[in-house]
Amino acid sequence: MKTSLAHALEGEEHRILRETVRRFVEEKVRPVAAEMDEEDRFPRELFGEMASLGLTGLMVPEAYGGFGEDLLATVIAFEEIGRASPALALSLLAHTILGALPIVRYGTAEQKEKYLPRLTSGEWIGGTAYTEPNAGSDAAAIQTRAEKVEGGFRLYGSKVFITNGSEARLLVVYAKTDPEAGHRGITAFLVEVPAEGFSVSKNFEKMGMRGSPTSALYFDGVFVPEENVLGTMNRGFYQVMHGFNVERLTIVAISVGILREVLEWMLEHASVRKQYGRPIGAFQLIQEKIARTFVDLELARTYLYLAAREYRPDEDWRLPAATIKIFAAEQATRRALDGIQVLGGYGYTREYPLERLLRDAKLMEIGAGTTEMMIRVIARTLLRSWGLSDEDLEGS
Amino acid sequence: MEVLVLLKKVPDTGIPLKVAADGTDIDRTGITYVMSPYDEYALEAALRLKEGGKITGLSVLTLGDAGADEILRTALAKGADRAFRIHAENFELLDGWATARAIHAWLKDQSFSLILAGKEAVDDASSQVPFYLATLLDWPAVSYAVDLDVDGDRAVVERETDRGEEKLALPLPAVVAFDRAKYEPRLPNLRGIMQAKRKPIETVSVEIPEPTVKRTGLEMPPPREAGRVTTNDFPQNVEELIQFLEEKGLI
Repeated sequence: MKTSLAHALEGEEHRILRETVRRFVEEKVRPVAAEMDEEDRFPRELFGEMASLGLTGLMVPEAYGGFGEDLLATVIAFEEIGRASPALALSLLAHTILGALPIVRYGTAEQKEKYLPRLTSGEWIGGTAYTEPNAGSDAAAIQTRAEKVEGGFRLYGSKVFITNGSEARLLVVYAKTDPEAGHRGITAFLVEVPAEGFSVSKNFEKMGMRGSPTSALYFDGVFVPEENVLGTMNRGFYQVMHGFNVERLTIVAISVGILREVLEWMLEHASVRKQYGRPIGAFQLIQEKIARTFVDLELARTYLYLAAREYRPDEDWRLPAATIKIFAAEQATRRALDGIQVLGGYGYTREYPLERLLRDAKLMEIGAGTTEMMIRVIARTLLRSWGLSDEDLEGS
Repeated sequence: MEVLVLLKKVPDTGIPLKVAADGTDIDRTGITYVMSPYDEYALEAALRLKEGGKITGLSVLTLGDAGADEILRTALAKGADRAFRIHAENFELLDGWATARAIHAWLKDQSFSLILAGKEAVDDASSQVPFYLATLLDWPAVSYAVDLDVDGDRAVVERETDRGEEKLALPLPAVVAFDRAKYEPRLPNLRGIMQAKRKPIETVSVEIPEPTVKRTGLEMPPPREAGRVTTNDFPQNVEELIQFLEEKGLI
């Protein structure tokens, strides 16, 4: 019997990688996961450990100390970390997928030489700063601007909900370089912080993902040298949209990790907990929750692995990424609730991780594009393929 | 100096096992396999020798079917240089003597100076293969090693015994079998996993001898009886415990 069809998509190296990450997670991450949540503590020390295993180099070419662009390997690693600590997985995502990957894709040889080894070694924490108080789903509406000065640019504006914001030494910051040109006037900058004119808010108190710091950033004339423009001037919007695909698939891996963890707690409790003289797994209302959680996990995981394995950076990957993100994010939240129900009073306590997983799971319906925006991506893509024009779809 | 580490693929020690329908083997459907834990300590010792510049080459060998390649790949990912698999179907049914003779048939044309292994595989726990091999090769052998160093033409082995630590020197070539070592085995890092993809695994064909010892039956241990919990307070609970132990004839 095959307990998961998803494994058929893995190669030998993926199984070895999974075992490495699983053992690391059991030994180093699981013991601190609850404390990270309770105290909202960023586990800086784990980045050194993840670096020595190579986890900070996921999606980075071998030449710069990375594991190479193997998206299936990446999602497997994030799934394993996400089982024990979705918050740690989120901060690692901000570091690798949002911090390092844009440099891999768009950086000059000098930028790669200078920054990638620092990120893959865990010496520096990375992140990206796009979202603003008035620009979330409407990503073209950012107001942060970069003014041309001698030798470079000065940044003015503010960013919000920035993962790793208070810990990062390197940020990929997006700003308007041609304010009249809408989304065709946005440019990416590599900003080393701390810097003059740069400040960070206190970390937000969040419902979940505690231990992964989220803050607002303020730029008051922060100088960025010319050579730190990342990619092409005024093409930053396209760069960030392209990066969304990998980001979404990686965040789905965290949801899949949560689904797996929820299922295991359900099975454990349903086989040990006895009522009316029988394990509660004998009761059909419990069986239904177990079976449905397994179905969601299997569908999400198999689709994710297939999408990750087939991913090609030069192809339009928005539809599969949005499709699986809606499903995995919503079902992880729903099944975390079911997990609490199966564990009953135990599930409602902080002695068990299910209530934390529920709080963490909710973020995936919001971050990296809300479910509502995923719906928009899917519907518009399908309707366009059926002949509707951009004009027809205006306002949607 | 070339070192060979013997590895065996065994059922994951963390999963529950069942006896198969015919009663002579475990039910192998859906089982996941790992490198036998004592072999991992032997490999770790070899990797440390390599990092310390004490040896020039580190090879690993397993005997089994194609499914055993994965533990070889894991060893390559940790830093082994070369991997060999003696092809054998149903290798779980071989006894120690047949396994050792098959390995020896290949080994006699090789030039290793030191062979490391776990003191036993955690599946059948027979503790035979390294010592049969040493006998066939006419090499000295030591078991229950917890640490190992190479000093010129000698291997220096540390063992832990009930009476304390013991240091032994043995002339090379030699066979050393590991207990739980003084250090934890490393995890393969991602760079190593990438590099391992490019290292070859050589499949070797030798004649596999028929086992002389055959397993004819396998039974699960009887379920453990539930313990008894005393509800008395001190000192009655101590009296109860003494009485209980006396009844059982244990004191």
